[in-house]
Amino acid sequence: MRRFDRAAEYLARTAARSTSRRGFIGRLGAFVTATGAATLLPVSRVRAEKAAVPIQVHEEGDPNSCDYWRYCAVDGFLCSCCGGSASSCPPGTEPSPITWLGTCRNPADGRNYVISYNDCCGKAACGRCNCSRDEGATPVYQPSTANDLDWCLGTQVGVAYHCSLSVVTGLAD
Amino acid sequence: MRSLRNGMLAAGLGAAFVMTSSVCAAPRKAPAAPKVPELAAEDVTVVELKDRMPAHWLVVNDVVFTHLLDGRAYIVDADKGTYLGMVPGGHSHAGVQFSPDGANLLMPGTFFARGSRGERTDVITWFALKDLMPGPEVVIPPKRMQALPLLSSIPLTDDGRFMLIFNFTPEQSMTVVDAQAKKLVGEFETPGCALAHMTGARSFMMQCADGSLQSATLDESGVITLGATTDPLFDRDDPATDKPVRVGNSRWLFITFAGAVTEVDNASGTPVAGARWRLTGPGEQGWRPGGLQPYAFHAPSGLLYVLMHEGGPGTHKHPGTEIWVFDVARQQRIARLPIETPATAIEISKDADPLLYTALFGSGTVVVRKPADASVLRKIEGLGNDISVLQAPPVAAPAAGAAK
Repeated sequence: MRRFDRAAEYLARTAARSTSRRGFIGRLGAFVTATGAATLLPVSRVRAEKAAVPIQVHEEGDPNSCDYWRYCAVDGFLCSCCGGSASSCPPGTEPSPITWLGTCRNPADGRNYVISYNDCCGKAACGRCNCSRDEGATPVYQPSTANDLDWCLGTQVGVAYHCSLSVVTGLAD
Repeated sequence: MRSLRNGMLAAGLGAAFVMTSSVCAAPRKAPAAPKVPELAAEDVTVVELKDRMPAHWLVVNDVVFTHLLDGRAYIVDADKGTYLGMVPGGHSHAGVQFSPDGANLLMPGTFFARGSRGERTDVITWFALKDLMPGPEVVIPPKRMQALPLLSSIPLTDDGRFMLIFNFTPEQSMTVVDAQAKKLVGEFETPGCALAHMTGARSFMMQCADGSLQSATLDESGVITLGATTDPLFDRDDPATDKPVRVGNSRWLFITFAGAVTEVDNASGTPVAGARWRLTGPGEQGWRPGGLQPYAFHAPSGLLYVLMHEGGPGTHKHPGTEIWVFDVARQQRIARLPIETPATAIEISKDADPLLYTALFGSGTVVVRKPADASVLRKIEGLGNDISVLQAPPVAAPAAGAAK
């Protein structure tokens, strides 16, 4: 019962804050202040956020799903589920400059594409959307096509693995 | 509800006491002293283990994939099904090696100065089995391959003298540590070839990208010299896994994704391919070996235990649904043992009356089985997140199976 009481009290206080005249004026003041401050800042400091690059127009499927066609040889956490996308690293991570390659067939156009499975690095593992499909993956002694390796090599931020990209680099055929 | 019922009961008893006391005003008696002795004050202690690992203890490696910085190895007693202790392993934990006397675990680890960032330090640490405390350590070049665990990336020579650490930056090289003097020997280039499969006290084979094998030797100071290289032994379309099986002092079975077996002997210093056979027979082409540790060889009986599943190309990490048992000398399967829980790792104790172990990545459970029929003897549950490889300790004197 005490938990219900606390919840009811919280809801009541929230409702009072959001409906009071003082609350409305407070929020209006905050808006005015923020707007004024923004107009005073140099343009370079108010640059727009950089969104994750979405999948291309002629693709089909859900890039948050392990079944998505680009992930045919991936083994790791999908950056799409970690604040990035299939080709964008999440904020605060660094893409590995070297990596391994796979070949996947795009069901939308029937073509085979070379996919670069760069890792995003420098933070502990994302832990979301673990996906292991391994098509065409080879043992670690054939590293250019091996997905058991941590590819966070040559980065400034170190080898801590965060998540995996699946970047279209061109036609395979 | 329970507290309400207890309250009512207390109120009833209280009323009864009031009624009784109003009738008879006898003096209240002190409660009788309990008839059992009082508990003794306790001292805080720390458990110590044995001086060396019994044959049926097991090291269970957990790569902790969702928190790769926190790899570790658990030590369990498979006879009793009990958890004994843990050794921390760091980022991308590969496994341990047992010192030949069985008294120490050598643990290669990767650490960062600020958790997941900052200066990287790679180090080999000696943990005494007795207290599982970190003891001596040797800092090595910060190049250790970061990958899913492969014990052949961290082998120890059979006599325990040198530890080899495979590096991938992506340049390939081998670090050598003098495990006796506990000093770094150096780093040696191994272009195009990876891992080290020991074939004697001072020799090993490496697997190369073109499907060939490279022999190499160590001298008494630990310096590596590369030797003969074979022609490519395996097709690019069906490569040998990076998990070959040692079946003799200098002999290894290299097994492809599809289950083709090639025995290779490096006794002469030049790897020689011998018998070739298959794990599958007619009508069984749909079956493949798979998992992170698909093979376990029991030297006293000469039997090979393999995790097998039904699947096609690209399923080499799929868990096994059956254990197939092979007589390696006769190159024949002697049993097919379905298992009730799929497994990605299999291991067998090295004594004459062995226990068979399996684990499924992500399950946190080691299943202890009878080797004869894979029936379940007991389960050890709650073992972390992502069990990768299982390691049974050596049972014999030094130089007999110290390195896996």
